[in-house]
Amino acid sequence: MRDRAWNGTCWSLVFGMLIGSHPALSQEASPPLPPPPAASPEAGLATPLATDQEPSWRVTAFLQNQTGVFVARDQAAFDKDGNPTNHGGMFGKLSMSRFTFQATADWRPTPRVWTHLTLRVARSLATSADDDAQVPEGGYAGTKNAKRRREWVRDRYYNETSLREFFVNFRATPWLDLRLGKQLVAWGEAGSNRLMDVVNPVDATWHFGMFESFEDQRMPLWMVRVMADIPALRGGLDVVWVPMLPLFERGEDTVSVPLTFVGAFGLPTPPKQLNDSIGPKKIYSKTLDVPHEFGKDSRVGFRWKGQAGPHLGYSLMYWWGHQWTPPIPQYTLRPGTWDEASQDIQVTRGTYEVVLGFPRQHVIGLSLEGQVPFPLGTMLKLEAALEPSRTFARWSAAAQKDPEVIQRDGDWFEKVPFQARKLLVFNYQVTLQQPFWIRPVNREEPFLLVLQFRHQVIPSLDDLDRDGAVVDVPGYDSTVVSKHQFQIVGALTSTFFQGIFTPRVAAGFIPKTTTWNVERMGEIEKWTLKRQSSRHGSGFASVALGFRLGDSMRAQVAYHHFFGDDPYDGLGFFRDRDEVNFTFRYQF
Amino acid sequence: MRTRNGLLRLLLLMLVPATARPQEASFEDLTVENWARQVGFSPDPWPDGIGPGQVLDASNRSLAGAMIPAGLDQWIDRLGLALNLAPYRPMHPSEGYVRATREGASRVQVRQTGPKDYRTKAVQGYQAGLPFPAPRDGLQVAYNAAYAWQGDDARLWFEALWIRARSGIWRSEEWVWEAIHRVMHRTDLPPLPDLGVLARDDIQYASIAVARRPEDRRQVAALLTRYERPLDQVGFAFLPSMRRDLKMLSGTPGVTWNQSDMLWEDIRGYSGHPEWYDWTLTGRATILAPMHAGVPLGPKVRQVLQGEGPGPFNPRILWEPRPVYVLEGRPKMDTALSPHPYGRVVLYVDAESFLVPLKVVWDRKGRLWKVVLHAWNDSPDPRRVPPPLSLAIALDLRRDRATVFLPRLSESNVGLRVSDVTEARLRALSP
Repeated sequence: MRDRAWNGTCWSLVFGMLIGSHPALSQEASPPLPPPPAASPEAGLATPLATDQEPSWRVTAFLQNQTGVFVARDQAAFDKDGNPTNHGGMFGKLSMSRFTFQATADWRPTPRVWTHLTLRVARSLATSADDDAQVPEGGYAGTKNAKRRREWVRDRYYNETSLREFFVNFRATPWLDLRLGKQLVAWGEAGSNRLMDVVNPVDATWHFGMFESFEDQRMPLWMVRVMADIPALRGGLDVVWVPMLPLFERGEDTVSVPLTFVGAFGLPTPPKQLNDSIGPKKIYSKTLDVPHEFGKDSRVGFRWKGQAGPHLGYSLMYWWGHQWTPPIPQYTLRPGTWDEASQDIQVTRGTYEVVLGFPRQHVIGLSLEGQVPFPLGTMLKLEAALEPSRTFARWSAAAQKDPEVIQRDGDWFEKVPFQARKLLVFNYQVTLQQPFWIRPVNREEPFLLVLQFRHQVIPSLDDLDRDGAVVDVPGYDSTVVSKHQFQIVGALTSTFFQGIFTPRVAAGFIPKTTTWNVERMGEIEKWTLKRQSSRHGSGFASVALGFRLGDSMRAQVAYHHFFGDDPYDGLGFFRDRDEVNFTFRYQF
Repeated sequence: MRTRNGLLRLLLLMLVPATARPQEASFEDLTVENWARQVGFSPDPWPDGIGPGQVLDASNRSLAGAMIPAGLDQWIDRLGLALNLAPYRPMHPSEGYVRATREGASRVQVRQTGPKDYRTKAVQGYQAGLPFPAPRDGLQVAYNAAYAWQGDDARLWFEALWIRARSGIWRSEEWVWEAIHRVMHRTDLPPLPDLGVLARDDIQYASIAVARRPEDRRQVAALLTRYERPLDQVGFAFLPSMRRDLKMLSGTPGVTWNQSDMLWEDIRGYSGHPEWYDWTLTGRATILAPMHAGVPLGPKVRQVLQGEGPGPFNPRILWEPRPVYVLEGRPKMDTALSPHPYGRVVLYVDAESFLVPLKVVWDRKGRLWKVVLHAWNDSPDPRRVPPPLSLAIALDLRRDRATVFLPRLSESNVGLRVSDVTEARLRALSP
């Protein structure tokens, strides 16, 4: 939910701080030229020194439009039973058109105290690409409700009026900072893969997650953060406590937004599963059971970051929080009436309410970063994260338990629990950053090459164990998880003409080594798991060109291309979402 | 005294092993009063026809003769720079710095290193103060410049302006930079001689710089540390878009500061390690340089620029005749993977302060390329506070453009602590 109800106190505070602020520095109009400073042979010149003080207030802001168009020619396809076998039909549709105003204010009344505030207002056009959104609320299904689905996505996730950040930082001692309020915290070095970056959830609904800055997509949380500097140990400790404050925030704003809720940048309607009893046509609504009780559902963790010599840094992290994505199905409900004769429930609705939850989990992380000095100037980073018990949803044929009959507030329901598997997951990522020169091409600035290799291991998973199969995305059997999963990403960038042009190319590939093999024998389907070659998988390629126009204007044009052997797995979900995207920003 | 004993000194040099040649001159009677006389040398007198209070420009700069070196002459002739002349005034460092020089100069020794060796420190025994009060070769002058008195720490709030001759200011940024120049070898502020924790890590310098403007650079911050040994400068950059501080190398030879005309190593004339260049002392000279420049620091500092004409980046400051060492350098750190853009540089090192007001750069093909100018104002208390850096300009003579650095606030010896330049502090300063 992006439009939020405000209490009057918050608005008064926000406007008070903005109105009372000093304007950000801007280029002054050229003054009349004064005569050169006078000098006498005897005494020289007395020049005033240190005559200026930094303003205690700084406010900056920007206006931005970001618009995109889908350019992939993929078309939707269906089997003889009407189940989707491919998705598409996006060509020429608006992928997004979002207008954003964001203002940031900092106030430093004393060297020990500073406050930070970020206000964002976003308004978006509705896009027909969101016709495919799987709206979790009841009553939005069907072709006749396509317009309602578009508007729901726009109003719930694209439009936004929010106090993104608001905190007070107090420097209690030269080595201790205490920060209270709504904040963003990023740990780890792994960039978009977020191995140790576990504090803030992400809203990637308004554009592709990998192409937008995390600054924009992270969802700030109300938290207490303590930063302690311990120079004797050559490091610092960061402790974070997210208490959960139902009075100040909605529960759904404390978890990542499921990508099935939107269409343009979300997951398409799933194809036929082996067990379609809870297929999309059977779902009436989805309810997110977000853990949001003060204290009981709070999250806490710490990170120690230090230096082991001039060329090697390291960090250790622990986090006790909730699993971000995906939400795990817990049970379904159908209303009914109690039939005394059969001593059983007679369901009165054919569709289900699905309740999804966010299980607790521990995350333990380690990172190392080192550098090889000139002439190579190479940076190497390793980040690893251990999740002792990540919860996975089972595939459709093994997901559900036997139904139960329950009563709530006098009403009868048929409840069917889902079963999940908790598995130990180990992730690590290696990143290489290498600057180099190609002077004939760019005389002034180096190129920067970044290569990332990521490996996920789930030791207790057997790739060919059908009964024990788990999926990355509940409801999509195609996302069956392999014991070993890899990801390779590369990017190359430089800047020209003193920052006026900044081109960037990036590409990535995710091999998929385990897929389903479906054998049809008449009306019966037999699903088994099989191995694929490492060339089977999905990926992306992206080209972008950024422009700097003076101090105020920024622009970017980008083309993103997705590919995948399976339209319902990995980046194949987006293979019909090739896009040309334009961004224009005016900042002041 | 030194001239009279020159032959004896030369004979002594021939007898002492080349691997360890201590300084032979004694500076036991060095004071702030006689510093300019003992350490420096007198500038040449004014040439006929020019003097304090006059303005030197393209029409009459030939009167100054060799006081206007190559590079600066083009700036005057082609881009309209005018020099407001002021009288020479001697300079001296703080009492603490003088004392450290007096006590330590005889202990500093030069070590011979290989022609391509840029990772071995070329001196040993240095404690604090001026390493070589009587420099005899390029490396010694370079070391004097590296350890010139600039206070133990500094705070600078400055604007960086990218200016083209035709179109004027087209880009600007604003930064606040706090630096501990002397983690080791301190002379002015306690604790002496060093800041224990950082010094034990062999850190010579540490700074934090935070961008204030423009909006998309706001809160970009960098923590930089330089080591006593000639290693690459390392540090962390905080990027608001990622909300992370990322380890990085900085100041790698040949890399620009924020896509400006100034390389990292051009800062303060030359801010790399002396071992990274082959230095040749080509002689002494007297040039016009802005060592008491009269820049009006503060909110109207931009008024120091001409703002229009062929050189809108031209500063209107005071220039005086200064005794300088002329130091020529060629980069050692030059490989196929990372070719250095500079072929040759000439530093004009002030003989009293060992600051570098002027640097002229030629590219690898021997073509004149850049002039890097630094200016200082009067010190408010010359016995305790160094002259504040008041202006820096990196001028690209081939593209007729410059990057100008104008301080709104320039302070030294403010009392920064170790806790002010740590990674944790970097994170705490940023959102």
